[in-house]
Amino acid sequence: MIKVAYLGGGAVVQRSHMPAIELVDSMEVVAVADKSTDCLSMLEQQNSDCLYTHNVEEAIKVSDLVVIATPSATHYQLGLQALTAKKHVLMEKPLATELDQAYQLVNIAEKNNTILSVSLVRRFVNHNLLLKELLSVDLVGEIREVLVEEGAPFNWPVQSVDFYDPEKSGGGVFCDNGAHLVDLLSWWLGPLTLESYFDDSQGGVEAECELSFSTESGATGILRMSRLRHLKNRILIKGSKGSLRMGLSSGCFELRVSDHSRLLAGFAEERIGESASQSTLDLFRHQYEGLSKLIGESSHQDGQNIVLGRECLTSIDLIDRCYRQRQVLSNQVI
Amino acid sequence: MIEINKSVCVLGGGGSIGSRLVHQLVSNGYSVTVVVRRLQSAVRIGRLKVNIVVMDLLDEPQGNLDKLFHGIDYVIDCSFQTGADTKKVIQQSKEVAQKVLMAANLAGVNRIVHYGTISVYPKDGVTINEQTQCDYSGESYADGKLAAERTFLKADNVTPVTVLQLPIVFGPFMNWTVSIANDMSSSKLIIPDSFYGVCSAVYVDDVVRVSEQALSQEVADNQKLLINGINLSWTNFYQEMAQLSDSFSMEIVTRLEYEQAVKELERNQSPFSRLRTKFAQDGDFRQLVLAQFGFRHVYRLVKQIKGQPGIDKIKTSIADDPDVSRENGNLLPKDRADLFDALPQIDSSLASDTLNFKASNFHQCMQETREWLIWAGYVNH
Repeated sequence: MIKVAYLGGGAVVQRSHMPAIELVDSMEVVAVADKSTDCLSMLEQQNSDCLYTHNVEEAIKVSDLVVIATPSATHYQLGLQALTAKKHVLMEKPLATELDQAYQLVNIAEKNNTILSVSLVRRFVNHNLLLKELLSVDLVGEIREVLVEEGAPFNWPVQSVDFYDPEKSGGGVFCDNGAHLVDLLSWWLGPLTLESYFDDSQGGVEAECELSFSTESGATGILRMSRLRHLKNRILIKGSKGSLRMGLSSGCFELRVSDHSRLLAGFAEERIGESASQSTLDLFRHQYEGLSKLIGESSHQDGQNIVLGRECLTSIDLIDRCYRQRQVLSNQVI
Repeated sequence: MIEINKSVCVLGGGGSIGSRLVHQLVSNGYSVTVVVRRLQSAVRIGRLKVNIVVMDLLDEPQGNLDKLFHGIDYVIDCSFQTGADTKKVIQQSKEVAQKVLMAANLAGVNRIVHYGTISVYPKDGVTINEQTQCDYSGESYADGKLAAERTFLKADNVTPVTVLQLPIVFGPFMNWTVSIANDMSSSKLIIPDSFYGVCSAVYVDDVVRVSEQALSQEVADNQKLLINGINLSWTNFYQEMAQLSDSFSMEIVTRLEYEQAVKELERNQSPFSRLRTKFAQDGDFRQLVLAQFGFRHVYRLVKQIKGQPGIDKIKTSIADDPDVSRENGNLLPKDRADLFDALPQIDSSLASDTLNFKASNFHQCMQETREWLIWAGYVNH
């Protein structure tokens, strides 16, 4: 049985991690560390057979796998602590807020032959996997332009005021869900080059941002994100032979070729005849199952349904550079 | 008048008016502490350099509120209590107002500005002003606000209080804009005609301006002031909103037709859909179901119900054309339709005299609202 400790017991742990790990027979939660007594008491009411503590070291000590789900700016320090203690680590995204820190964590994990994975579960959503495959078969020709939008009024049950402190959270929407999207874009399109980055932070954390990028093949792209308004929530890829549009949450594909007069539309399905619906819980459960399998193997180089730390260094680099070269996004209407 | 280096504590500052107010106060150099009940409502103010405090004013020990107000010059109270039990809401509203007053007195706060509502006044008559008699009506929001207002305006208070009684507030992020835009864009909104019922509406930035003005004006101490922008019929207000976009759709029917449609809708609602609505909206009920039947069973059941994506989902997902998802029509909620019977016009001359309040041009405000609706994705260019 793999013993799991959570560092941070906030909303993502309560809503996604814990319900998912409950479905994995080979893992058990042995400890939760959080600075909030209220949070620990609430979790203890649901499962008393576990160590609840303010002390991170105590939690790390009794575990085989440490899940770090604290504000982003603490990821590096806690990751360092867990990896130095030769524990396997599942880090909530982003891996770290600075590239140097991310490199250090990856190197320590590799040196100690422990797993360092990052909870970038959106890579394993059926339609995101299918998009990767469609792009690899040159469906729209040479990619020229990529437009990505994701936004909705914010509704995540934040539990710590640190969330709005840029020093502790590492940033706002770009650092948070942006970590997923930058990872996906790099995974789909290859390394991205930063052209410009704007956000609306005025001393706090951004709720709106806009990244302009280019790809190695010469395509240009824009990523727009918001916690304040509904955006189109889709990726649109324009190529020399046609265009491909995919709903980021609906998973609906739309392919137009040549003169754009005809349209092919549909959803990704894992296997013909099976339900396309895939919940967040499924993704987290598969991630834990993938980790469980990999922990049992002697080599930790590659695993199913998990993203290893080394794989997300390019996206960390881009996010880090965006914040360093940030320009002010002014908006009079809000 | 802008006062530099002054500190303001905004209670309920994560709300739609509060967030805009906080932004303005920060822009004008105030040091701002914002109290929110839930952190997810702080996303707009989270962009700013402000001190965010999570607090349920009702449950918070008095000592914490005393500490919070230490060093604060002004308090603006945008908070309110909610619930179906009117008596409880009245009691809670009084308690919170008393706590705020006690803490403000102890900390030497210069002034409190509290948001009241015109809903405390009777809905018949021709004109209302601050002298119009008002009493508890049985409607929980209005009664809670009246209880708070009466507590704040008691003669023996040490800290001066100004109560701003607000009408319908429209503009960016306001519920009276977002909900109407949602109703009119998702399908045709059906409203009853009401050429007599008066809608008193004010633009959110006018509320922000007069709130800031009230902080530094002694002449408004221990008074309630009615704030208003424009008096127009409810039908006209909805028509003005409908004109903000070609994609908004609205139909006016007679009151009788509307009432019949409401009854029909109530008859047709299936027990399963009632259950689903309750599960989605009622957190206590949801917890009860999950605890009773276990997470795994409910999860499997939900997966079974969700099933395969049908052709309709594909259509609505890919279509930019709103007509694809448009159904036969969407009835204005009954509680909103009931407002259409409110008759009196608001006399806001006292606010004009004491705080120099002057509402902005209505059509200019609607234009700014339209720009925001475009930005927010409710209206196409």
